[in-house]
Amino acid sequence: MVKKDPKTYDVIVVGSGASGGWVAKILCEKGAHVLMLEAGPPRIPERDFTEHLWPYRLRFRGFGDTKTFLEKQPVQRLCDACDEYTHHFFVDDTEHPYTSDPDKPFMWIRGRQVGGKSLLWGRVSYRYSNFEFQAAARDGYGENWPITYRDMEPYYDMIESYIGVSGSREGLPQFPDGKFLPPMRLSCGEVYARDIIARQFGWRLTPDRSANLTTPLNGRPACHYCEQCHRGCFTASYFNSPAVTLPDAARTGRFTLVSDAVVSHLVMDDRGKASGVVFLDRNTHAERQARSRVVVLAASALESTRILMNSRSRRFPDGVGASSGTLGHYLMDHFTLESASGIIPSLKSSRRQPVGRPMGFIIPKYTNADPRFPDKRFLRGYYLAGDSRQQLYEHAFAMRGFGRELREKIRQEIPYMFTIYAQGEPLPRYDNYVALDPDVKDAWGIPVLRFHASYGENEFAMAKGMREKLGEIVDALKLENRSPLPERLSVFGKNIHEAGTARMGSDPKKSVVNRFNQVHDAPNVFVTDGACFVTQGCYEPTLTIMALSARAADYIASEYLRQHG
Amino acid sequence: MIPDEFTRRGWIRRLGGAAALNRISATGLAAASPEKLPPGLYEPSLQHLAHSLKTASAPSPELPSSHHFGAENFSLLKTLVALILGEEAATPVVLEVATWIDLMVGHSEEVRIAARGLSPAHRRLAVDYYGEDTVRELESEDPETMCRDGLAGLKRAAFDALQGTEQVAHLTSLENANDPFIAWIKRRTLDGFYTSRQGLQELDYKGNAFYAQSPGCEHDSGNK
Repeated sequence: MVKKDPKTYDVIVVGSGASGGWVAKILCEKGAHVLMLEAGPPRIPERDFTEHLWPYRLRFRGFGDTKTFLEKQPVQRLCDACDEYTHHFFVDDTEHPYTSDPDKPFMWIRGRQVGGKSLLWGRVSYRYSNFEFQAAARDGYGENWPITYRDMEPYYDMIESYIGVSGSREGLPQFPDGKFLPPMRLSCGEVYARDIIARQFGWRLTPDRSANLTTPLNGRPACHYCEQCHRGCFTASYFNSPAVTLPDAARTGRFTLVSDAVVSHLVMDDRGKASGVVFLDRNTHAERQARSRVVVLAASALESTRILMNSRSRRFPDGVGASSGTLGHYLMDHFTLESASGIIPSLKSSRRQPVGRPMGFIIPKYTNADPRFPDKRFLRGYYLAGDSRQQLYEHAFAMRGFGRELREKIRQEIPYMFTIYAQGEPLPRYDNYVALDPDVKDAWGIPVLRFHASYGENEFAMAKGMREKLGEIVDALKLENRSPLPERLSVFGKNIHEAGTARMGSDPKKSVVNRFNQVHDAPNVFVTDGACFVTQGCYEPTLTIMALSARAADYIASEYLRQHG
Repeated sequence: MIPDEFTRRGWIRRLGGAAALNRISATGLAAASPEKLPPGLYEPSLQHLAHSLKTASAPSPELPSSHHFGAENFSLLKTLVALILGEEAATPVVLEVATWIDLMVGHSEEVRIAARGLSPAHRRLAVDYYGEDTVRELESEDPETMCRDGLAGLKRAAFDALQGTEQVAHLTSLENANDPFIAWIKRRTLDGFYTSRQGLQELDYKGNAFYAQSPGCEHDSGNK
């Protein structure tokens, strides 16, 4: 028997990450009563954060319990951030299966907990411009977003000002400047590369734009540069929803958070509106129902789409939002060529330099964005990014000898590495899609997603261009001991920027949600995460997800809830 | 001399500096009453300083007393680690590193079985991610056999009876012959040592610290 919560909330928000955090904050502050349902458990800093833990405190000294990884997290372990310090922030793959075409693997990295992946994210924060929002108008491929940079700019301003984004102003139209905190500093290797790349390529190498505080902000202290953000940050010096947006919602007294609540589907009434959601207790598997006037899905792009697809009824036989035939389609994730690297000979040293900067550098997109840098072999473009620093002890493996003499050599001859990769824009394609798997269910009996995703000709053509450019750069920098230039594109999904599958548009026949993230077929259901993306650009999506979420929440509060009583 | 990063006093000085720079105080933070937040939400907290101090200065975890290798082989393993590092065999860090290698070897069969037990979909994903060679290596790498064979070879050569310099010469000859056992044990010893407190100190590692401003190039005016 389903246990029903007698209360009807103004809004149920599904998911507590970057998107859900902003929706809850804005709605609660505007007077709405919000119930947030989070599939995972709460993370308690004193218990779960591993910031400042030294490797010699760990059983496997940071190299990880490979057996357990293989058995419990055969997918998650592939993520760089999933290690002996942090594996508990990632899902158990045996409880959270998914399927894919046998010859087209998809790498789906998930973090189910209060805060979702915002506890783990890379913190890279770039604005999209009309190169993204109006990409189709420029090159004729696909659809434009039904919004422009002008619609988004005030929300970008508001989000950046509140969460704190460090960065430098560059004045590039394809890389809009924002309300930045002071930038972090480039390393010596990056300064070396910056000057050569500016001279020989006419491109700017700048410190990454990152949601780490370089000055105190809103009661949060500045970053102390321990470079362990993904282990949980006690000082909340980078943006994550549990320490930044959700406490604001909680302080209003109108916010209810239920963790360990695995949402299965929407409950739809005869008029085609959602009356609430059904969820299962993660621990007991007991089924419960919660009611609201509005439901916001902010569970991450693919989880939100999965909930829509699983919300089947006589009125919505293929799920909610499926009438256009685009639900589940136009799945995107960035692809990378990673990475080209080598040693900068002139920076070899016996003096150890401080490390701890939680980001690297970026060379923004120039190809096909700046008229001086066209490449007609492909549509759209890519950026280049990386990091340059001293090696810790990896150089020891190439050294012969034993004993104190070897150790002295390791200590004295510190190489300076330069590493660079390229990240490209995938084209949104109808034939990259997810659907419910008819046979496989997760640990709570909810049908899982089946992925049908592969790269197309444009991605391969762009990868060729990227590879050439990486080669030109390592040549120009005169790097030694170079790694071979990368040949293969990253596995689909590897970048954890999955987007699309419930795209935004003005035409209900071609899209799932409208310009305010409102589902065309079900006006009191909103999808605010990356599922709504129409194009992805080559830049990280989270800042745009937050801006869209804030914009949708504003709309829900000022238009929808007001008009609908 | 222990570098500042590893001393309680050093931590306090650094943390005090960071707190002053950031213009926050424990008093101000205490007023925020984080107890009122639902579980999973949190306030920025200087409590982590205590946590950091604890992990930096606490005694090293107790090493397991039983070893995967038998006593004789473990003793020889310690001798090898000591020679690779240029330490006496009785030095605590030698025992620490040898114990860790023993643990890795002891787990290796389970790792191999788990790797071979990957579903076809997960194996295919791993191949696409790492490449076929890396996945095969995970499925087939058998450091236990390699170590037993390698240690047996050393025993046959009466390695234990050699003088220290002769032992190093023997290891050098094996390294020059690209002996896989010596390469493996040396790599693991370096991994173990440079993840130890002593090894990190020796490298003068300047991470996992508190800095008032972003580390970066000191010689670039554009960086100021």
